[in-house]
Amino acid sequence: MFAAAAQSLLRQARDARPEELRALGARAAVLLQQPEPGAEAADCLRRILLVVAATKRHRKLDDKFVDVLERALCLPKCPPQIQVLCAAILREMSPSNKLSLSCHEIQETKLLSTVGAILLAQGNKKAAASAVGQRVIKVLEGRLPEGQSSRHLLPLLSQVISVFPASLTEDQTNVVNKRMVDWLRYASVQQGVAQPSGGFFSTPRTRQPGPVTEVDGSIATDFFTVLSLGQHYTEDQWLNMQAFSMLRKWLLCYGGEGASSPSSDDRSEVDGSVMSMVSATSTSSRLLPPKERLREKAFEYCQRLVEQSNRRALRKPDGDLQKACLIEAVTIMDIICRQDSSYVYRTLSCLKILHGRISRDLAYARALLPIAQFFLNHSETAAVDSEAVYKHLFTRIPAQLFHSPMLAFEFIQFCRDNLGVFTENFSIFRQSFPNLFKFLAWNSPSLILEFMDLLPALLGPDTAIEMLHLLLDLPCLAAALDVQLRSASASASERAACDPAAKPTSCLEAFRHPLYRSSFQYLLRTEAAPGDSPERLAPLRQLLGSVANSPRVVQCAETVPVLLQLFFNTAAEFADKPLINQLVLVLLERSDQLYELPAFKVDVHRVLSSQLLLLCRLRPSLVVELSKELLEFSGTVGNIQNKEDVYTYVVWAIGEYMSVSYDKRCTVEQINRFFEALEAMLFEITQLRPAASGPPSSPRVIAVLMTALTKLASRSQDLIPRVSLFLSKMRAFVQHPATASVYSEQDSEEILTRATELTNLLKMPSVAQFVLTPTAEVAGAQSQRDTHAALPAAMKMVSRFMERGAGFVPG
Amino acid sequence: MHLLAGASWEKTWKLSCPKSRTFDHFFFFFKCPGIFVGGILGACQRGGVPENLGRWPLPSFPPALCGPPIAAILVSPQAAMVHAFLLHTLSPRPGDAAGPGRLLYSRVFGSERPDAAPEPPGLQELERERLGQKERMLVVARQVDTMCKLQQQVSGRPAADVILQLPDEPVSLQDAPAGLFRLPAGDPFGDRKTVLWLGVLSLGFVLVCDPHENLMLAESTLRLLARYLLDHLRLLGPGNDIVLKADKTEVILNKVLPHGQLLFLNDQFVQALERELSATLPK
Repeated sequence: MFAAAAQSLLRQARDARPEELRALGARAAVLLQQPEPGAEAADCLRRILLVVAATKRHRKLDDKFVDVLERALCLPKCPPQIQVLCAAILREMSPSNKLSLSCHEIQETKLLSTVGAILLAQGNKKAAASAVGQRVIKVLEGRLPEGQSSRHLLPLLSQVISVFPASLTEDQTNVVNKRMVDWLRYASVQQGVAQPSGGFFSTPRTRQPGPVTEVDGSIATDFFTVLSLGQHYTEDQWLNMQAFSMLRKWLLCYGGEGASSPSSDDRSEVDGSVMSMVSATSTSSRLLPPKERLREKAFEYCQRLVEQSNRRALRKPDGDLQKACLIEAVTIMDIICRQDSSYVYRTLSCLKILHGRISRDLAYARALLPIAQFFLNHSETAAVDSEAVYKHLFTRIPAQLFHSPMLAFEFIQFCRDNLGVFTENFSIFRQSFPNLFKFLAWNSPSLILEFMDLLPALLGPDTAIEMLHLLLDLPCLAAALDVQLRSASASASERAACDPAAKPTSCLEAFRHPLYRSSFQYLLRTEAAPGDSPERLAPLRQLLGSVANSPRVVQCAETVPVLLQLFFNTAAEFADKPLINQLVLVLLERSDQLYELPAFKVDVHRVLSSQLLLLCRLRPSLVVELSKELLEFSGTVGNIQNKEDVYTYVVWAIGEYMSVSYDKRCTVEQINRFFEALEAMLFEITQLRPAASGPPSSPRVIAVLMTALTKLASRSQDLIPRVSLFLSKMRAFVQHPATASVYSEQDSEEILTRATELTNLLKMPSVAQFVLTPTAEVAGAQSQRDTHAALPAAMKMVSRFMERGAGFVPG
Repeated sequence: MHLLAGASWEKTWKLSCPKSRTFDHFFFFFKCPGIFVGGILGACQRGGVPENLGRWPLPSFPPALCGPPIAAILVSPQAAMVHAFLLHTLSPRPGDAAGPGRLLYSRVFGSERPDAAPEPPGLQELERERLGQKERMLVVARQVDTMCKLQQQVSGRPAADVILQLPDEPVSLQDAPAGLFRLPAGDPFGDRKTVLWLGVLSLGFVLVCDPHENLMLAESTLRLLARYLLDHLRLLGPGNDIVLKADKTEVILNKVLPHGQLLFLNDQFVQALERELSATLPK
């Protein structure tokens, strides 16, 4: 389709040689110097623009051509199309130091806007911003010539302060402050007249245009705002719209830092001819200095918008604009209050009413965020309790609007921006993590990065266990949300069809079925419920397995491993002894109970096993304290097949940490019991049966079991003969045809080498104990890494030593 | 497909190095089409402890793509503006290397140059700055591409190339996949940015906004822009030389998003703009 056409053009443009570009430029230069450059010139310029824009590399244009472009651009009679193209080429080759453009002399506002954009794209941004800013203010200050419009200047001014906020002097800002007041507050309330179409026969309008209306069609009751409608708009109404659009940025840049000094020529207008409802309540602002006066007028404007947003819009786009205006108005009021706290009380009462009005209307949910932000910023100043606002926000909104991607993003950003306040002062934030996780479960790709920041703040000793369960159930939550959403949109007849006696046949039915209702409710809870038992989700997990392949569930599942890792890393920072033990127990228990999604299980097992080691290293004693559970886990053959990763790491941990050097409470009986369990397992998986059940275990499990047994034997030396005997049988095992057919030569060799090394080591029990059991100091913390790296080296050395010894003493 | 910040995130692989069978290696990598960022997280003795699986690494792009160091940038508190607008093609299928998304048009309003930069910069610095700007746009386009794919998967809609649109059939922007995501500070822009995107068939329309921009307004502006561009440039018509219509794109952008300023346009203002556009852009 068009993509192919565009691609081939782009390729041509990218491959264009410098001389081709030069030729194009030369031709364009000739065409541009003709009195009326037309379609041909435009075509030529378009091609040049494409060649310049299509590549990342810098395209060199002839200095002379650049000069022609600059001159053509500034010609009063330059056709608009040519002007746009010249400007685009000059901007596209920016930043550049070849331009000689300047805005000093420009009187025409449209041209100033075009040239300003080019200058702001140049390298010297500070100088450019001041120069353009100065020129814009100068033109705004003066009287515009006939046919010129300030409409082109306001957005340019806005770009100037964005590119370089500190580019205006105080006098200049005061000029704008005063003009802003005029634009915002005193725009005409009569509709504009239609521009004559220019046709020869167009009849002059006789009828006077009526007053502007509100969004619901009624006659405007107060001053003009962006929510005032008219068939046509006058110049000052356009400026009103533009001024409000840039108001927030302006106030942020120039509204703060103390009072501005009123200049001597400070003219103050009499309030407009319209009877103003809002301004009737305001203080007489006539005597205020410009900055304060703008603040006052901006505040009135926002109040009026809040009031106007209550009207029912006749057109949908206006309804959307009402919401956007509400968000902007509340944000601006917040800024004003931050700059002058005397506005706080007025705003507070206004926003309380507003909150009461919109909190029940989900369509306005996004506007609740700036309101909550306002309360967060100012409720302390005003000494009001705003708990109800947050409570409503955190409990109702995520549960009902988790499926709105825009709201989800804004909500989570809001949380992220206020993390410090939330974690310190508001229990409701942490308590709501099950609700917040709904956003994540539903919108995982766009929110995973946000939750990397959010999760540590939500996690605490009180929420850790419950959160771990919920993280592991995240794909399940995504599936349940899907069911919930479908159920909500299901027709009444579908809902009624549910028969409580029969077993539900689909997830949708189960959602309303008494058998599953409480599990669904638990999974979809809005607040943390630490007392509740997550075990009861097992049947639900099974039920929801039928939607495991839905892309949303799969996407959600893919975020879990990362978050799990983050979870454990964060929890390790504050977890105490009981919590760590509890985490290990949950980890072992849940490794079995995971949502049926094979790739998810593999990933989660991988993370769980590595995190198990992290916890063991943090508290080696847990191996002794949880010996009952670990014994049970390591003694179950099924665990090798279902979750080899976790099993391997559990065995490694037992071998490593089941030692008196880590915990004085470790007894020989315990060691023996573990030895027997692991021995039985190794026996089981290396048993050579003609019809072996299932595929043989991986060489890794065998290697780890052998090593763990040797380690345990080195600490309870009566066991040494047993393990030596076992190790000696490994050759027969790997050479057996049934094994050899599955293991590669390398695998077999590795098992044998390990067996030989371990056997050799055990021939010198005291050395074995030294090599295989790190001393308590070594176990300290930092040097852990080294001992692991050193272990195989030590084993090899001992092994070589033994072999050499055997050579000297035959027999 | 895995994902983090738009780049597709390949899982942490555990690989056994063939030469040293006693070590397991933990690899991670991100895959953006054309960019591969990866590394070894750690290695451990076979069956032993992975040593470095610590804090999960966040994606980072090669230094050439990153903006200047964050400290060098003066951020006005809650700066709000549209930093850039992009129009690009969406690649037909996920992971399809043959047809990566192409940047058809981009316009940057903001500046990534640190305020304290030495002035005036040399020619080389200028060229590097321009290169960096283009690279950043490409990074954004790729991430949007991934996001759009992921959302299409979820919504169960067919991929873009499956739909054959008749040239005169109006496209519904209401149902078009759209979304938001954040670009963290320093990656690829100096400051944090919010990316708002809209996928219409095989085109991606994107606004890169400052974090505190009014996103609801940005969303309606983006839809308005997309509609005008589709209408006036006949973007979805057959054999379209879209990249040769940059002047029209400029005119539309200058009207709807002048200098990157979002406008609070009520329906009547929109109609007025439409009249002005029709007068300047003969169909």
